[in-house]
Parts: sequence; structure tokens; C-alpha cells
Amino acid sequence: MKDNLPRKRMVNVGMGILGVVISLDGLTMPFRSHEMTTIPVHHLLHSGMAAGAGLLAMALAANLPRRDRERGGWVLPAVLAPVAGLALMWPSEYAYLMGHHWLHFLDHLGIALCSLLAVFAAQAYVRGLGWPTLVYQHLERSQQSGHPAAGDG
Amino acid sequence: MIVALAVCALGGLWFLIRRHIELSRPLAVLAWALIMLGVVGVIVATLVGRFGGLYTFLYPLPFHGNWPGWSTGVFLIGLVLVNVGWMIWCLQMLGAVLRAFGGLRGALAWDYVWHRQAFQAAGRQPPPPEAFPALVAGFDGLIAGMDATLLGVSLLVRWLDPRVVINPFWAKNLTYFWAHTFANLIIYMLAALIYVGLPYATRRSYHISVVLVIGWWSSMIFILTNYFHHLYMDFVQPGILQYFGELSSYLTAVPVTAVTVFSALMPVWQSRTRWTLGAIFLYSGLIGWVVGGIGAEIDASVPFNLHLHNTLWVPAHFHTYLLGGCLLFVLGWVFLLLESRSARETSGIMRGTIVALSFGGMIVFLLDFYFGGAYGVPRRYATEPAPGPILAQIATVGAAIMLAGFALAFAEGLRLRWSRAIDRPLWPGELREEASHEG
Repeated sequence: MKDNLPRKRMVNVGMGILGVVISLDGLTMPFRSHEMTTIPVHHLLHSGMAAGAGLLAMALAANLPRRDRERGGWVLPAVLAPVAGLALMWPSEYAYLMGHHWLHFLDHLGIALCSLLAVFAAQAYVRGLGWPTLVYQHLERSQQSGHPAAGDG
Repeated sequence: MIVALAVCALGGLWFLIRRHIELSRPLAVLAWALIMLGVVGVIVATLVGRFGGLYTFLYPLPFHGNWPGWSTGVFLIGLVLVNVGWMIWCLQMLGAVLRAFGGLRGALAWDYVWHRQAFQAAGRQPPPPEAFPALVAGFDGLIAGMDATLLGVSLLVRWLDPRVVINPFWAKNLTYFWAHTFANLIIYMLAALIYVGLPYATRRSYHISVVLVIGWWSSMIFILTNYFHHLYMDFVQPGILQYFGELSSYLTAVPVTAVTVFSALMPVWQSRTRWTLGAIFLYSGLIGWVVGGIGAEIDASVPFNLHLHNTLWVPAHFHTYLLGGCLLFVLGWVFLLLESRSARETSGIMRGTIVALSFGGMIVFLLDFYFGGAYGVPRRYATEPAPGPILAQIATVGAAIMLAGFALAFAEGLRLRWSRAIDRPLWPGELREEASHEG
């Protein structure tokens, strides 16, 4: 049991670092890439960034004290944050955002924060619910690739 | 009909799981309130706004009708609210089984199935039967809820910004994935009432078994993939998914239904079952589950689906399992509660009248749907070809008789409720103990 503790901590730190790297890559993308991709590819990139933010959330939630009871206040953010995150993936605005890097950055920041909040909140509500939320969210965003905008090239 | 029975199932399962672990009441009330608010939205959009995009609201129909734009918006917001309430309930249920039964491994009874000797040697107990509907509904419901979130947000964005164009086939897959999973889960959730209610009626305990657990695992996976049978006519759907849809349709229903029904019959055999209205409704619900399930499997088989697709066969099967299965499970449960807490009993004449009217009318009502489907009468047509009209007239008589039976049952329920004398909640353990003292 004692041997497992440092290993768990190492896994958490590794997961957190991986999450930060993926999230930072997604957040800084608007300043590094100025080419318009297709909407499905753009949404796939968002889903990758959301997964990174989710990993970071799981690493952060590992520090929450163990508790057998529900933390009921966390349910609403766990359910509503993905709604807000999806609303930020408004396909018809991408062309405008591609020309305004800071706005695009803020959009990515919002998507990443929504993912982070949803996964952290689910894990905070009841330990163990963070992982399914992370996977569901990742699938949700990647599935939005079936959502082409008018004039999607 | 679907949301009404779903709310019954949510409440029933929540009540049963709360016997094992503490659950937050405000959260449950919040989930219920959001669902009700969503229902109000749908009613306003439909009755006031004349929204006519059907309950399937397949894209792009909601945006191309002869109704005002606001009614589409209110309808979609209503659905999103229903889904938010549903997801809160799913998170609560999944969280409850994870907490109560030792995480996912414990809730799945993994060690009970694969390492049984060590499991028993350690003195461990598998989760009770009602935990499996909670796990399956919580887990699959969350996936379906995420799907509905994606669909709902996409449609709302399209409503606010007509420049956004959605892939209709993608939207159809999402719509049926959510709607079919949601509707399908109702009967699986209500199976929990069987697991707890039958021991009360028969005074025998309901044993968990490896076969039952594996049946629930099968349902947990295949409930998520059986919706493909709604897309047999969509030629652009990859062929492999169509085969998978047919296979999933059988693997979802057959294992758990067969095991549950068979194991529900066992406690009755040579038991001292008191055939009260509660017990009769619960048992008759099993018949509706089986008949409606077989009707669904027939329609989910590709050669039959070629003939039955979009005919009255479709409402035939879902009315059978919703009306003749789910509703009877709910009524059975309610009557068991009433009978266990009332000083009065239902007379034999009243019981016989209720049973004859309810089931007689229901059989006439449902059979006409099946005949119509078998004759190829299409559904959702304002003017039906023959023999649709005559069958509809006969079915109306059946429905009226059935409603008279349910009205009598309602009056009898009120009578039992007014003579409440004994407060004896449904705790099978205590009841078994009581029965053993009597013996």
C-alpha cells in the first residue's frame, strides 16, 4: 500500500504535466497556425485540447480529500460546463476568429476551462465520475465534426 | 408517454437505491424540476406555438415548418432542460452505486463472476439485483445524455444562426441514439421494481446469480448500439452497423429479459403468493415486457423490417412494452405500497372488474395496432388506407374499456390510501423475518 502511494503521485504528476502540455499546445495554436482547416478537423483539435484539460483536472482532483458522501454542489457545473464548452464551438464564427488571434485564443481558453471544470466537478461530486466525464466530453467534441458550417471547405 | 414513465422509473429506482446509500434529496428534486420545466416548454411549443416537428424532431424538419421560430426554440430549450435533469439523475445514480458497492468493479460484480470462490471465501456479497438497473441506467444514460447535449446545442446554434448547416445524417444518428436509449432504459430501470416488489408479494427473496449479472452486462453494452435498427432504410449508413444493429437488438433484450422473467416465475412456484392488485399488475407487466420485446425483435430483424418499417407495427410494440409493461410495473409497485399500508383490502369483485376491463381493453387496443402493422398500414398518416380506419375504430373501443379499468383502479387506489393504518415500508428483509415468525 505504501509503495503504491509514490507511484500514484507520480502518475498524477505525469498526468498533470501531460494535460498542461496538451492544453498549452491547443491554447497557443491560434498564434502559431493561421490556416483555416475544415470544421471537422478544427473540432477534432478542440477535442484533443479538451482531453488535455480533462487530464489536468483529474490530476488536480486527486488532491481532494476522500469522502463517501456526495458533494452535491458540484453536479451542476459537471452537467452545464460541457453545454457552455460546446456553445463556444460555434462553426460559423471560425472564419472571423481565424483573423482575430486573441479572440481565437480566448475561445480556446473558454473551451479548455469548461472541460477542466466539467471533469473536476464530476470527480469532486463522487470520486470515479471524472474519468467517464472526460471520455464522454472528448467523444462529444470529436463527434461535433459531423457539424459542418455553410461554406465549409 | 415516454417522459411520464421515465419520471416514474427515475423516482422508483432512486427510492430503491436510497435504501442502500444516502442520496441528496435536493439534487433529486432539482432533476425532477428541470425535467418538468422542460415538459412545460415542449407543451407550450406544441399547443401554443403549433410546433409540428414531431417528437423525433429530425433535422432539418424543426426549421422548415409552418410555425413560428420561437416555438422551435422553446421546444429545443425544453428538450435541453429535460436532458439536464436526466443527466443530474444519471450522475447521482452512477455515483451512488460506485459509492455503495466498492467502485465500478464492485458495482459490476466483477469478482463475483470471475473469482467466485475467493469472493465468497472473503465473505463478500454481490450488489443486490436493483443495483444493476441503476448502474446500467446511470452509465448508459450519461452517454446518451452527452449525445443529447451535443445534439441540443447544435440545434440551438442552428436556430440562433441559420448560417450553420448541420449534416442531417449525423443529426439522425444522434437523435435516435439518444431517443432510443432513453426510451429503452425505462423498462430496464423499472425491472428494479420487480426485483424488490416480487419478494414482497411472494414472501421469497430474489437471488442474484451469475447469469443475471452477465445479462445486465450484455444490456449495458448493447443498449448503446441497438438504435442502429432505426436506420435500416438509410442506405448511406455503413452496412456493418446495420448487422451490428440487428445483433445488438437481440443481445440487449434477450439475456436480461429471459433471466428476469424466468427468475420472477420461480418465487411464485408453490409459494403463498397473495394475488392482490399489486402482484397481478407486476406479473402482468412481465407479459407486456415479453410480448412488446418480441414485437420489437421482429421489427429489428431486417427481412421483417422491410415490410413493417414505419407501419403501425412500430407503435404496436412500444405501446405494448410501455403500456402493458412499464405502466403495469409502476401500477403494481404503487398498489403494493398502498396494500401494505392500508387497513382495507380490495374485494374480489373489484379486483376481477379492474383486471377484466384493464387487460381486456388493452388487448383489443394493442391487437389492432399489430394487425394494422401486419397489413402494412402506415403510421403518422392523417388518412389511413384500409383496413386502418376500421381497426382504429375497434382500437378506440378497446382504449375506452381499458381507461375505464384504469379509472376504477385509480378510485380503488384512493380508497386504499384513505384508509391508511399501518406504516410498513417495503423492506424485504424485515418482511422475510416476519414471514418466518408466522411459519
